[in-house]
Amino acid sequence: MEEQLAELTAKVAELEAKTGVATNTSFAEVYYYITIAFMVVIHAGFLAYEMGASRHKNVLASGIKNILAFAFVIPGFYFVGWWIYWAFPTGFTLSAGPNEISGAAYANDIALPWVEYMGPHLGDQISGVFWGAFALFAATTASIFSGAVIERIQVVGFLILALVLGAVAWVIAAAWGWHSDGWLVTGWGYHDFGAAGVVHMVAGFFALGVLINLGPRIGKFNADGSANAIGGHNLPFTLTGLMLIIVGFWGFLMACVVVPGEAWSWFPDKWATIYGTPVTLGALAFNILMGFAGGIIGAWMFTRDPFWMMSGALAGIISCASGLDLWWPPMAFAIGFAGGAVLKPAADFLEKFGIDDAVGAVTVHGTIGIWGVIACGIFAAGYPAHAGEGAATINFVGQLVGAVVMFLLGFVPGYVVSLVLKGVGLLRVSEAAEIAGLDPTKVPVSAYPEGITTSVAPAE
Amino acid sequence: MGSPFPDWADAIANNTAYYVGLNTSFEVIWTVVAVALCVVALVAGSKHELDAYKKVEKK
Repeated sequence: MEEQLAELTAKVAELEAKTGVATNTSFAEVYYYITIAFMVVIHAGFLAYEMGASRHKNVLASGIKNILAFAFVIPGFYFVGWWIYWAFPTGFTLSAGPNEISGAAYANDIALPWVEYMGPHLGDQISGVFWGAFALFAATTASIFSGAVIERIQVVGFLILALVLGAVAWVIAAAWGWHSDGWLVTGWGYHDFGAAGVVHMVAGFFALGVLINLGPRIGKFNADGSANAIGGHNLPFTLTGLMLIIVGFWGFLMACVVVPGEAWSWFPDKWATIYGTPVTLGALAFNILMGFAGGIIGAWMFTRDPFWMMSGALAGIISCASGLDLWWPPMAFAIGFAGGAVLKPAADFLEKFGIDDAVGAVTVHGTIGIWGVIACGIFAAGYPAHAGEGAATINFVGQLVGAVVMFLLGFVPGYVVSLVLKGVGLLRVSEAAEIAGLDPTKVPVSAYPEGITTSVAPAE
Repeated sequence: MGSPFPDWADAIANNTAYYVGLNTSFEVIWTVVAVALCVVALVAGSKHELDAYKKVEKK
């Protein structure tokens, strides 16, 4: 009898253990799956943002461009991006890193588009959702770039650029600075938890490289070099889009965290960053909200303009992004405030060079991304940058080197590829089409078939 | 401002807080800075708003 009881107890314990593992595995799978849905909201936001920022004659053309960027970057990331992320962390040698989760051989096993882990697999409940979350990061880079070039870029030229950015350029940045084997991380102590550098800087400066070759919209600059404001047709739509992007950011930043308790987890009972350092979701809640608020207030103080205030919200979060896992919340507020405050002057400075960034993407993502990366080097220096004994620590020089690398990984491909596209006539629409508007020129339907009725003047 | 510990092992073992400025005067300093920024923003915002009302009344 006692033997039977002991046997029964052992079986119950075994079943309980299995149930716990199964529950945790399912939770992990659902966790990353939800981040994908949240990040799709980012794209709903960018869609509204760009269409609102476009003039009446270009609304749907901007929408088409944005929708197609998403559609092309996803398969592009499947075909090459995921492999690049796992193959490139140690640099162009494609050798394995210290954690042995990188290099060409490892990438060939798990990330080539024709291996079993790149499709439905009962024994692998994580690869698909991990891939999905990263694919949405990739699509986000293309959407960031997309807004800057509205109203005068050709669709196919734009899509080629979006593929270069979303499936290659930012992925190399992520492999180097957003992977526990990344050479910037292990060698320089680069820390970029929320991707201020690897996503925002790369996408923002890619846009800058393209804008130099693309040129400003007709009518943006006067003969004396002074700039005209070209207002979008629906600012409330743009503001709503910006708020949707903020909603999606929660999914984006959720996906920057590694769930505990799995075979691939860093800890049995603690959440971790992508670098294997511990983090809590509470850190994200505190610091996203404080950075968000600081950015809005900073922009409000210096502009009083709702467009820049909502852009300030983005700037606040991006300012805090690199050290989002480490900030004391009032620090996050102050760092976000600084990001929001410098936003408009930084955008005006860029405009002085004849750059027509229609939605401020270079400033919000590129310039503020630099601030986010550097702020981490100033205030969070000394923290171990990754897991393991003898880990490199976060330091100012490392963050500076990281910022330079991120700038180059964005700007150089953006400039070079757009220059080639310009040479073959695939970059800019014709002057006649730009003046007539891209919707009547090439879109078979109308955004507002019944027109838009002007309301009465304010205060009447 | 530096890290409150040389490596993560102690913080993990003891389940401690781990934010920048932990157990230093920077906790208070940054809190004061954040509060001050809010107050300054409200004061400047109020001035801007009242000036705008006055400008309309003068027209």
